[in-house]
Amino acid sequence: MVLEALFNPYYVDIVVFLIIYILLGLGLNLITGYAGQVSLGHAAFFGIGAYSSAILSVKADLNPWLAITLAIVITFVISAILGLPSLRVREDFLAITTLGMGLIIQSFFKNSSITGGAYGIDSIPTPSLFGMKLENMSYLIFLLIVMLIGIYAVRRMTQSRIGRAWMVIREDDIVAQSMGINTTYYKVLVFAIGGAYAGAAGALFAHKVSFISSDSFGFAVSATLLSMVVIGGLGSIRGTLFGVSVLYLLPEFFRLFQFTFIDMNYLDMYKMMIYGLLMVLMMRYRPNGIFGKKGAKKVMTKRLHKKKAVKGGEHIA
Amino acid sequence: MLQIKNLNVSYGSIHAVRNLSLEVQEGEAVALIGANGAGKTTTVNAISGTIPSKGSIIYQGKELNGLAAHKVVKEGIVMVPEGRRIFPKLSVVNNLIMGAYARKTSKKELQQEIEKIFVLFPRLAERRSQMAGTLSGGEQQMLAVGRAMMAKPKLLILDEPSMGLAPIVVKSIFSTINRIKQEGLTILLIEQNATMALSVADRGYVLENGEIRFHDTAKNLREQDVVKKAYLG
Repeated sequence: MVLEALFNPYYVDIVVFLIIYILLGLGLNLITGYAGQVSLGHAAFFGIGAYSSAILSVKADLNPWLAITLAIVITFVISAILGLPSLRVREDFLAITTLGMGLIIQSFFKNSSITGGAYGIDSIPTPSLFGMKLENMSYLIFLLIVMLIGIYAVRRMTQSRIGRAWMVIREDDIVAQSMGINTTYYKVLVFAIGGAYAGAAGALFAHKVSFISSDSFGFAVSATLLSMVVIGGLGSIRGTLFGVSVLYLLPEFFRLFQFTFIDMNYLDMYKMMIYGLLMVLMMRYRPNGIFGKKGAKKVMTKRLHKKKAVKGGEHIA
Repeated sequence: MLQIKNLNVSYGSIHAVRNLSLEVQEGEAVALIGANGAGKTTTVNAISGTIPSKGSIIYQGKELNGLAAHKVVKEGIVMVPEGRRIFPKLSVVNNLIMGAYARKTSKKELQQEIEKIFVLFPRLAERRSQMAGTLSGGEQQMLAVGRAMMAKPKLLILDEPSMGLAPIVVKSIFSTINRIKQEGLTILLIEQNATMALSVADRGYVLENGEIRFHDTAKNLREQDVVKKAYLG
């Protein structure tokens, strides 16, 4: 209780949602950054996680912890199925396909009776640990632990055989096959794992806000997430942390200081405008993202070793 | 070692390979030559399982047709794809490591095998940590061959190793292929450049419009003008 008083719950909430977005970003970065499968439907996985956990804990009256765990498993399975189109379509076409699937799933949330239709689902219980309800600061600490585990897992996966297979599929998926990589398996796996991250984020989101409706899982979320991951740098954990943090905190920052030259009621629109502008600038000046390959770190070391690089270049032609 | 019988491949209504039959014995180098659009690459893709085909492809007594591409690699058939297709953003060493993906090897063994590839292609050793995309065309071809060798193939399929390369580089690539062959590896060589291909191969098949027109020993094919006819009509 002392902890709760120490921190302004408003700021705590901002950080909680930031962490949820980081989890979403990590998942999307696996799919799009490491394995190269563009996904514009990540909000659908987020929604599936949120609704699964909500339905299981409200309608089936399960313990929230069990509901969250099951939600992650459910999203893992459904994401694997939704990842199947990536076996047939790629790049731009995959982006459109995933976009379409995202919209279909959102419309399912809005119209199905099991998801509460347009009313959504309310009074989702807060999980408790040792008799203590996880709210505000304690929930934040719990999420922080989940995030660290998530980051560690991504790191381990991407540095293993699985990670190398994904990387090669991203580079050239036909050659990946002729290297003996089962591309079908690894593509489905990346959607399943990336989706499970989103499912975890969704479940944790549902138990935080206690009310969910289909509006929270629209295309805007997918597009925002993709911008965050791209701006941070595809295929980089630091990039995801940076991209998500900057793009998520930027609007909050404006809200905080109440600038007189912007009308706060239209903040969401300004947000999209700024994201768009940032994307254009990124594509022009740093197409690999801030922390992507050839990102800030590489550029710096390159400058240090400039002489060496020029010397290496002589033989190329 | 490899027996193909009545292989047929169609792209929609286009019948690209018709009733192709071909045989590769253990330890020999066989050339499959033909002009543009004759169906050479299609045949290779059918063998490696990247496109569906009809007919039988028997390899060491086992039917390969219908087997997924990554399983064909595990059987020991490794392809150097047309146009090299190295991983441009990975370093030379990482490209080679990826070649050994299908086998599970210790780091130490990998290191030794990479050094062996570097003996075969000293140029690559000089560029070991360079990004593969910055290599010249010839070096990239060497890397593509080296990467395939890392998979420890029993049958190596080379799809147009001379494509887009300067004559002098082509010569050096072919002398390396010859060396690999001397070491006892079975090779199926797909080429447009008939003279070069027949200088390395023991036997040759001439492909025209998706059908085998002739097959004979490389020596006979070199002396006859059937090859010229297949190219010029």
